[in-house]
Amino acid sequence: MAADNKRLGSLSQWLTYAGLTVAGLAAAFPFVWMILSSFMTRGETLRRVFVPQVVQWANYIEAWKEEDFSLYFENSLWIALFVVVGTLLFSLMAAYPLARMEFRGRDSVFLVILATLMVPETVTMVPNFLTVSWLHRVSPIPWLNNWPALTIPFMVSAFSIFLLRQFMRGIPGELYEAARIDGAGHLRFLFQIVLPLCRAPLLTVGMFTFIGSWNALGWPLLVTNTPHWRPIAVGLQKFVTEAGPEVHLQMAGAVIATLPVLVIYALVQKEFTEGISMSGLKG
Amino acid sequence: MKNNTPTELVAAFLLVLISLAACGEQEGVQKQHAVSLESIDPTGQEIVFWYQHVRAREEALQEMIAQFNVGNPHKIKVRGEFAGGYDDIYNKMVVGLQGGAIPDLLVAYQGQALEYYLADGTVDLRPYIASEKWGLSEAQEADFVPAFMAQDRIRDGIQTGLPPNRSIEVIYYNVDWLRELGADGPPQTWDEFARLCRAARDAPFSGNLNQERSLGFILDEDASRLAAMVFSRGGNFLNSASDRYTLDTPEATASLQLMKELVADGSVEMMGESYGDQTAFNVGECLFILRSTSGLPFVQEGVGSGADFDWDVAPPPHTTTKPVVNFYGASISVGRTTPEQQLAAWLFLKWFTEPPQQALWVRASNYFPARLSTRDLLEDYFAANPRYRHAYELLYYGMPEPALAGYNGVRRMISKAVVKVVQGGDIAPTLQRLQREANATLEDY
Repeated sequence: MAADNKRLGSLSQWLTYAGLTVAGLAAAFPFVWMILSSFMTRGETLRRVFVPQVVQWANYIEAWKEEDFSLYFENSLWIALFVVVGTLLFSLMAAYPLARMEFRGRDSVFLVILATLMVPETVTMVPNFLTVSWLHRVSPIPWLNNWPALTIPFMVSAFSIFLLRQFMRGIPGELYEAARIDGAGHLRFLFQIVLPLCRAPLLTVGMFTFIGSWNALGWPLLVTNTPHWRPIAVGLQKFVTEAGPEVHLQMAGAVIATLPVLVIYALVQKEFTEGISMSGLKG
Repeated sequence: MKNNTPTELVAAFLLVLISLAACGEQEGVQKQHAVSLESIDPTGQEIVFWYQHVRAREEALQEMIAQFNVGNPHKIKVRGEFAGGYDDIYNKMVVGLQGGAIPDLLVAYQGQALEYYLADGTVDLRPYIASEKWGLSEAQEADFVPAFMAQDRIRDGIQTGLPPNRSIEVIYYNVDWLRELGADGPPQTWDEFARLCRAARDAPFSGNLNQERSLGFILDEDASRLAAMVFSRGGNFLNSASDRYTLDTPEATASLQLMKELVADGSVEMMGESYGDQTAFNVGECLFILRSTSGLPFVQEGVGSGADFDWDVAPPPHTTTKPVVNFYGASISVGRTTPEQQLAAWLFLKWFTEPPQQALWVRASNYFPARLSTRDLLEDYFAANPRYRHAYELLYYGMPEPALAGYNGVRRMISKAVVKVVQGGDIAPTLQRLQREANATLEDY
């Protein structure tokens, strides 16, 4: 009986691993295909071969040089940096009172913030554009074709506030009491005690924000007309001509565009997983 | 409208609202028209041109813009800006209409141009064409392919855009494979086409780089493909007054019936990936594809890097006495800005559509020119590109797709109907519903 159970256990484990391996391969396949295609000639992509005969490093050079790609890459880095820093700051400061402070209407405010998650981006596009256009006219810094229109509207994220609030609610009240005895107010408690404890969810928020900002295409096309501040997604789009995509260059561009996300994910992988599980997002 | 994406739904709703608002301002608009064009001075205007071209076409266009900027006597400066694909430009324009940020010139398909015009975002070009000082002479206007100009003309002679170029839908066919199948030329009728598709399924091309797959045709669900088939059977997507969709017709039924049968017997497949038909053709897997002539250089390059066979283009098979080909292409509209900017935009547009510039543009883009006399400047190009010449000669058999506001959304409905039928849906109820829903969109405008 015990042997049967053991056999069943190992069979179940084997099946689990087999299933996970298949799922892992399926998840990895598009990346492998992207990398292999990025080293092919155009003819090889047309013939749909899987492995390039001769590795075409020149695709990367061509992709980098073509269509202002290097400029778009740099723009994306700056835009993502601004958005991540802004989102972390504003989300932290919004989540803290919602999690730790008692005031009238707190839950209603939180509900309103949560409700904005249900509004599709398409619906907010026009009001956002009108606001940005108005700010462009009245502000000393031009907003359109410039970093403010690309970054400031995205520095407040309901999802990030929600995620941080969930985590902050788990911080023991005794910590605040102890800080108060030491003479700390809310702001000092937030930045000296809560902030270091929030490392994992903050990195998670940072990661999500970075990916969202890095992949943005629709809004940047709307608020920019010149390459000066256009992000990398626009550069990738330019490899799709009206009469067919230049897959080899597009994939080389995609590899370049994916690298920063992969590097950042590799750096924060542990905290990212922790952040997800500790904030109650994981079932 | 339920077939549209959320973005397009919102965009269409906004355009309807803007159009309604624009109705109340017609008086003001009329006043602007009343300002004599002859007295306007466009000197020194800076204008913005939104286009969708990338890579080689964009480079050529930018060179031409630079040439205009240096050479025009009014010191007009044009700034060409890539604004995304056609749909991106549409979204940008719809949002720009709300925010008061519209370009001086923009690329638009006829249905889109009409929507912009109704929303007061673009101007009627007729006064500019007719202007003694700035316009086109009778000979110059007559030099535009009449059918191209007519595409951009709506009620009362209002001209919503000017065509810089057009393309047509042609059959690309593998000459070597046809020979192997015992055919001495491309199919002239749809029955012959079906027979050759089945023959291609059973007898793969000797040069096929993937012998496991052999097909007669790959069907792209794009509305232009169905339009080409319907036109070639003598049908149309519009009624005789060109104000209602006629999508439930014997010609559409016959076209879908044939495709359904060929897909069912394995000689035709639906296209599974973007440009998948072109890829299959390049490697010798597929005998025919139905595509735009603007893809000629890409097929040439693809076949050269692929199975490297002899190929050519022909009009789609037809049941009409003479072939009928679907022609299309985006035009350029002038945004409603200031009288000076509008005139400057017009002057660039006029210059861009003059034969010498047209000839340059053809060489860079492989589109067909909109001006007939451009042909005289392209003799060497015709000689070097015989397939282009074959296709160009078909222009005289051209027939356009609908130029109604909201046609973009209808195109998506058509694509869904094609997929539904080919996947086993009943043709009659599908087309009845398609026609009903397509005509319902007209009530939005």
